[in-house]
Amino acid sequence: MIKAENLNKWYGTLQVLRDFELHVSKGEVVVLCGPSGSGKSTFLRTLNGLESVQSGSIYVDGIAVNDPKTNLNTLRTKIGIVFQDFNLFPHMTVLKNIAFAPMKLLKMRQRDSETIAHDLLQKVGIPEKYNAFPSQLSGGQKQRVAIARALAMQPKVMLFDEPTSALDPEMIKEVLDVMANLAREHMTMVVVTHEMSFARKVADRIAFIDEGRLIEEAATEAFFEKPKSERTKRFLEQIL
Amino acid sequence: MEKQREISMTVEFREGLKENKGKERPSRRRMFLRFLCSLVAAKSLEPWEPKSGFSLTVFLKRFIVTGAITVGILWFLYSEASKTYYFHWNILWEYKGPFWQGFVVTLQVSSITLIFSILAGVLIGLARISRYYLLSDLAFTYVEVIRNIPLLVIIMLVYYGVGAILPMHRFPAAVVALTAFEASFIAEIVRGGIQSIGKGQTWAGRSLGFSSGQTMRYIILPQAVRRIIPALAGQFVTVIKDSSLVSVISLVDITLTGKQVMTTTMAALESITFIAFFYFVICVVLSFFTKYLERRLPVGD
Repeated sequence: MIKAENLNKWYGTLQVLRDFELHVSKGEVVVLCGPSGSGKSTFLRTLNGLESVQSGSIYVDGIAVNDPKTNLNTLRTKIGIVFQDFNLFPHMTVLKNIAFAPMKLLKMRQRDSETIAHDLLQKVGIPEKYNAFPSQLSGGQKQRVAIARALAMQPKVMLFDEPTSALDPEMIKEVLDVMANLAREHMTMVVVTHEMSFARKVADRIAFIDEGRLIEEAATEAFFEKPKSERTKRFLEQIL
Repeated sequence: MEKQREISMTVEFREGLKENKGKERPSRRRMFLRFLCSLVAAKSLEPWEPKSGFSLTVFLKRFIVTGAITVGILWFLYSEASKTYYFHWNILWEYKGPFWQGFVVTLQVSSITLIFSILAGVLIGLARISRYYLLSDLAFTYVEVIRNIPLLVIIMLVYYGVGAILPMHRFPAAVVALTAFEASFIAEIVRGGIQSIGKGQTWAGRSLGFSSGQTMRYIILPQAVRRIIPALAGQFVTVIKDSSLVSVISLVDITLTGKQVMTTTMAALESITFIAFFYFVICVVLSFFTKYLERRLPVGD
């Protein structure tokens, strides 16, 4: 589903991705972890073309992302992304936040898109909040609306960019539960997170990045039980 | 030590109250005078405690203090001037016709200017943040050139300069000059309003699959407009005040009317005081309206 190879990216003279590669097959949940500034979030944003890469190839669902001929807008409708700070549209109600993109981009009828939005709100556990504005929600609720908004486009891949790091501790669980449910429904997911217990429970594979390089990539059990590289061991010791 | 003093003061205060009990209450007039004195004395200089909610007493105290000081200063100036200058306020009434015409001209110039400068300003502001370098550079140059020339000079430049190329009456010349000037400020307001919407909103829009134009139209602009509108209403106040400069090309707005009345009747202070008061009343009403708009149009989050 996702095939990224030999990615190199610079911000000016700072190299943020070095020969980075990652493969994700359909229905797989991959957790990316690594110290801050290691390039995890940048990599995630290159997957839907929000950030460009200077060299390398990225294929999502068989479409070349960094090919100038690709229509990124069409491609992006198939890739859902959830941000650290939600980025809900503050001038729209929760329902409109979710229903707006399918209505405009998939040319869905308003009634249909709103039915979908209500269903998704049910799924993320806040069906009663459909008429609220984002500013009236708690952080956890905002993030769940953001997940619903991304799901409304019926994406083939979901990307999560540290979805819980802006949340109060007691709200983290409600968001992680929604994500775990998604994983159970075999959604293809790439998750950047520091929540290692979540990673251990939900992820199929873990990839560890440091300084823009893929240091280690292994099935979840193997990653936590028998990390191969020294760098990974040190990282795990510090956060576990 | 400090504590003891405090206690002894409280005791003194209580005893004072007891002593007062038997005595007559001070008269109303006395109480009012005491209240006034307390205002003028150190009390009114102390920082007001920000109490929760609206307090009528605090509001009245503040209103009375500031109002009294303002009126006092004005009255002082007026009485000092009266020593050497005899005010004939009734002369103004005789010129109510010309003043009314001047008022109409001022209002016409300001409102036509506002409409055109909003249109031009929005276009220039959008050009300023365009991805096409030619557009944004041209808009940048325009804004910087106009903003760094005084309005008075621009008005003369348009009337005498442009007027030399294509003959122009005073009124259109004034509107063109003012529009050109105000548009550059409105362009900056528009640009600032759009750029104040966080980058995350663009990311969110783009990653759902909206094109950059759609993101701008559906997501950024609706939010930006709520920030821009109060600032634009404020700009109307500025336009009205700036329009007083068109008298330099002999367009008879209210300022020039005042000046003419000054020279024909010699009632200089009456006339110019009236003009100042006139602008003040119009602008103060408009700026309170602006503040009201600011409160009424919150951007969520």
